Amino acid sequence: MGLLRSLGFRAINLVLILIVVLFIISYALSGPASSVLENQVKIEARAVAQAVLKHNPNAASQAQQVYNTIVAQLEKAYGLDQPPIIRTFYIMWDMLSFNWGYSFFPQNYGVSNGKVVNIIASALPGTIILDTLGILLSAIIGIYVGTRSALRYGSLSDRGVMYYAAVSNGLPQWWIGIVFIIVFAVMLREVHSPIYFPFGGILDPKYFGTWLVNPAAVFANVSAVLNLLWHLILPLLTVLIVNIGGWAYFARTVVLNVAQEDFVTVARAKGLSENQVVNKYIIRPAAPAILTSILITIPFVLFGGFLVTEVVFQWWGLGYVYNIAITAAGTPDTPVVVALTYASTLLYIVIVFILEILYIMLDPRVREQ
Amino acid sequence: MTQKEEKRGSGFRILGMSPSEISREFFSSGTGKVASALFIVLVVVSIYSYFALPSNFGAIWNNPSYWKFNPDNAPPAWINYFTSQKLAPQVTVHPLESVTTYRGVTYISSTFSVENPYAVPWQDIYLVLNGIPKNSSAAVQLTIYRPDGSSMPIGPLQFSGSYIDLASSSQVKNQILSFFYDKGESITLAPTQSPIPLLFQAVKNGKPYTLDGNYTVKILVTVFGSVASSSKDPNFITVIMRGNVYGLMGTDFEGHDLWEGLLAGFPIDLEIGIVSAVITMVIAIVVGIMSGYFRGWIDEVLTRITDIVITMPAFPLLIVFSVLFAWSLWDAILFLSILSWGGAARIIRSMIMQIREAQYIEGAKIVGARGSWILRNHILPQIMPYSLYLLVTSAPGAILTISALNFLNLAGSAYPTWGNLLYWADSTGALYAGMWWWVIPPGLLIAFVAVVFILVAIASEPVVNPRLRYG
Amino acid sequence: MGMALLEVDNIHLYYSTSKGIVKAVDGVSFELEEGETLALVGESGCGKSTIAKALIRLWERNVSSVTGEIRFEGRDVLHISDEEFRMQYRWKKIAWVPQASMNSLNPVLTIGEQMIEPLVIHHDVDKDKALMQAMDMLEAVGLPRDIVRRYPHQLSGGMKQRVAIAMALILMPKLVILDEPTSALDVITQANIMNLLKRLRREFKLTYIFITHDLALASELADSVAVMYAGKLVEWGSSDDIYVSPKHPYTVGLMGSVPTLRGEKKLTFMPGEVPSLINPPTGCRFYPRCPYFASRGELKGLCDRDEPPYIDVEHKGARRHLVSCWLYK
Repeated sequence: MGLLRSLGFRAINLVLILIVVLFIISYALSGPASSVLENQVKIEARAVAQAVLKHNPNAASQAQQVYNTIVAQLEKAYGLDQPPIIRTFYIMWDMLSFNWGYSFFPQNYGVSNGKVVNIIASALPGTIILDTLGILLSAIIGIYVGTRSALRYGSLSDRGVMYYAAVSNGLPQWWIGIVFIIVFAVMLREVHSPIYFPFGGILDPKYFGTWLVNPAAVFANVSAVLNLLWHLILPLLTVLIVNIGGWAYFARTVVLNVAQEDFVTVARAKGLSENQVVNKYIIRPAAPAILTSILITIPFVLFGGFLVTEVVFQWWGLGYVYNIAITAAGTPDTPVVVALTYASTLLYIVIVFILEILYIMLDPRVREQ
Repeated sequence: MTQKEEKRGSGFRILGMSPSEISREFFSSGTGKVASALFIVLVVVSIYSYFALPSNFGAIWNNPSYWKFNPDNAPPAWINYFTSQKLAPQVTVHPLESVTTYRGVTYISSTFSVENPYAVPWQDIYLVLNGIPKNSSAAVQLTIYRPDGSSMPIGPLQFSGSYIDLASSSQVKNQILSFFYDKGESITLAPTQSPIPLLFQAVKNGKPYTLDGNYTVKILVTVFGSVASSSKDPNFITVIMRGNVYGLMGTDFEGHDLWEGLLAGFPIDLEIGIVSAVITMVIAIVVGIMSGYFRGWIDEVLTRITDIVITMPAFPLLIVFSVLFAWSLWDAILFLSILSWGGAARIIRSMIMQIREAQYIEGAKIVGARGSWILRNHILPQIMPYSLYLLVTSAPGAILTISALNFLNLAGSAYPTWGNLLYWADSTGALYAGMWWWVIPPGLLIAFVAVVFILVAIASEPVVNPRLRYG
Repeated sequence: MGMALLEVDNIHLYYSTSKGIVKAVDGVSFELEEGETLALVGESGCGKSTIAKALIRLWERNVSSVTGEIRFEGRDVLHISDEEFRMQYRWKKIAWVPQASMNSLNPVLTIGEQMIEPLVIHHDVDKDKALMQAMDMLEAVGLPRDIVRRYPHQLSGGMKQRVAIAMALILMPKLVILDEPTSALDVITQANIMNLLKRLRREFKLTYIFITHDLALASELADSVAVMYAGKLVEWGSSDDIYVSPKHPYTVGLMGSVPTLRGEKKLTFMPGEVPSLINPPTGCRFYPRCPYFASRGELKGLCDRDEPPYIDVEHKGARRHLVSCWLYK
């Protein structure tokens, strides 16, 4: 019962933070977002007015009147006639209810109707695949390596891990991606290697169309899944190479600290085998602390690294769509950019929440607060 | 086996150590030595770049005509040491001149010679003429004495503007082709193919091959009017032979000298690291001290704010605001710093919570010390070293984040940044053409600067982290 | 007294650090009868905790050499295999109560889980039965039975220390090493724990090695006292002899610092500080702080050059009274 209660408490806490974050973003964006909405309103009103004109080409003044009424009505409906603070809440509500509007340049995304929700929905699976696999694998490998390294403190392999971690923390992940493309896509082709990797993308063109509309259908097709994996290898490798070091470093530091504690010596004195000592008395108590460090660094990992990595590999995910929305048309595709900011924040909050749950489950001291 | 600290006199002390002891401990580790050496390299190169590059380098970089004589996408010159196919490097010649005037007509004649051992010779020759008045017309005549004893006349070429591009002149092309035609060799050139390499080649059965040896070029410029040499450049004639390889670091798609572009990035990245770390740390220390020391509702509010700041996704916001408000590099750094202090503030707060529980603080309070006195004499000296360490650790994150922004062509500065060089590499397809000299160095340098800060942090951690020192 | 339960014979334990070899324990010998309580006394950093670690063979990673013999019931346990020592001696015969710090219990496991581990490992008892035994033992140390389901952070410092003691006794070991078991506790809790230790010794016929820096506290429990200084044993004898007529100047100094009322007091009055264990003074390690050396000219060139031998002085108690000091030659 205590566990459930504290879980609920943390959830409320996190939702509160989420709402505050959303409020700050919404308030900062209420100006730009309003102009987006105004444009949207005008587009919709113009469509109606044009329909009127088509019906009756001579009713120009009538069409103008219709246009004005619709603009006024819609502006009222969207809250554009309200002061900024109220508009902020309108935006928050729109964002929370996934009412994200239409892209200015739908042709850049290949998603049929240009609805921002659909564009983002098409990019979400790619991000989830890369981020989930990337975070999980690098965490598992990194924590394993870091723990081993700490248990062999001072050895050659430990020093190696330390230096690797130091260097990998300073590597721009997206640049590693670029290097990988040059080596494993360009150069392997140049030397006519039988094995080479794609320059980028998430799937071959023949599957990509399906992916945009219905990703689930792609998973039903074995060769398409293999194709996806083939495309996944380089970006995933990039993510792993850079992120394992950070996890290993955290894990190593925490495990070193825990390994000095008295209860570890007591456990050994009790006659526990080394394996039991490591698992129950070093790794288990260290886990919450490792998680805390990760909670703080995950925005960097996720946004600093993964987002731009998608751009480099043209991996159809939120980061890549972000880049398209910003650069493809010359002027930013504001509705997409704004909605993507919310979407990625939301995704990030979800990940943080999952980690929080893990944290609560791992540390009895937090459970009861 | 910790020994009790010796109570040696008074004097300035941090965590029981004098500054000289701290620096000795820092430099005693291998990492400390390497870190400080690399940091000095970083600072020295930054200072060098300040003096080596002209003050208006940003404007120069963004002015394509400044780089028009350079080859595009050329690898660095030193690759010739590693390949069998030697490529001609970029050469700029200021030949000796003699100027004579006769009946209102000025004759500038000059000669220079050049060795051509290159399998792939120069692609173009530019004759840049200074000091010729705009309204007077001029003609240029060249004779090339080749190592096989033959000589090839080029010209006379009509001169207007400030330079002649030999490769783009159809007259030059025809003269070269007819030179070989006279020897019974006929060559066909693609419409866009430069005829200039043929100047340095012999042809057998329609196939050109490099003619190794010494070439002497005689230039005669006839100006119908008078000339005046400018004070900046006493030479009237400058010959630029466009190479296939260029300088230390090669060139990009616009012929930018990448060496200069990379050099310009050093001070920028150093500043990004230092400025963002300082701003971050000042906020973190102020917030940390306030919430750790005053507690109560101040602490409650500040802790909530800290939580939110830690949870804020800085990078997407940076992107959005950079796009919407067309932010400069410095705007982005400021914003990033404002969103980056959370973790450090949290650590500082918990340190202060521990310190203020200590008995000597209680004692000082009982004796009647004021809060500010305790802060200055007990709390600040204890948290400063660790705060400095946190400062150093926040620098690499800022450098990587800003570089990523630059890579998306956002948050630009007047000078080219390394991230920006990579943006152009990516967007002009340098990646897929395998132009490693354009793609590898900027990324390596970003990593280098970030790693230097990381190494400084690693080396200073055992010195400043009380837990590691006494643990 | 019966047969010697434990004989420590010329133990050396060195650590290697970046600054040099630390001679944490440098040739220490003593013995212990079954049912006897030995107080191992000295300032922090003198090597007394290192001896405890050596007895359970849990030294720090950077140990460079361990030599000598530790005979338990006549058998050298320092040179048997790790696995044999773990299965035959750890907790089964030699248990350990660590310093009463916040960290002697694993924060993420319940008290019950931590207590029953030795039973499960060594006696192959099933979990429920083990839990019952754990509860019995908690009761024996004066704690409620339902504590098995609690986590360490839910207990007070005194309760945690009782748990640590109960855990040490769960396999009914022959020897219990108490490493400053009360140092972090307040005076009242400290007294309660001391009474508990006395009662348990009576009830379960335990043999204690009681490690402390507090001579006064040791007097409550100890049958014999061994005083350590800078990695060496400087004096060893029955508590009657040590408390009534301490011989070594260092022991005398320690005695002088003991207040009549119990409580924490730092040994600050003695001039100088504990010498470096990397480059200890030649001869007697105490001579730089020794009042006799400072005042008596004839000791110059002796104490600071030659190591004093152990001298058997007159004793009233059951043990011989050995002192390592040139004054008694």
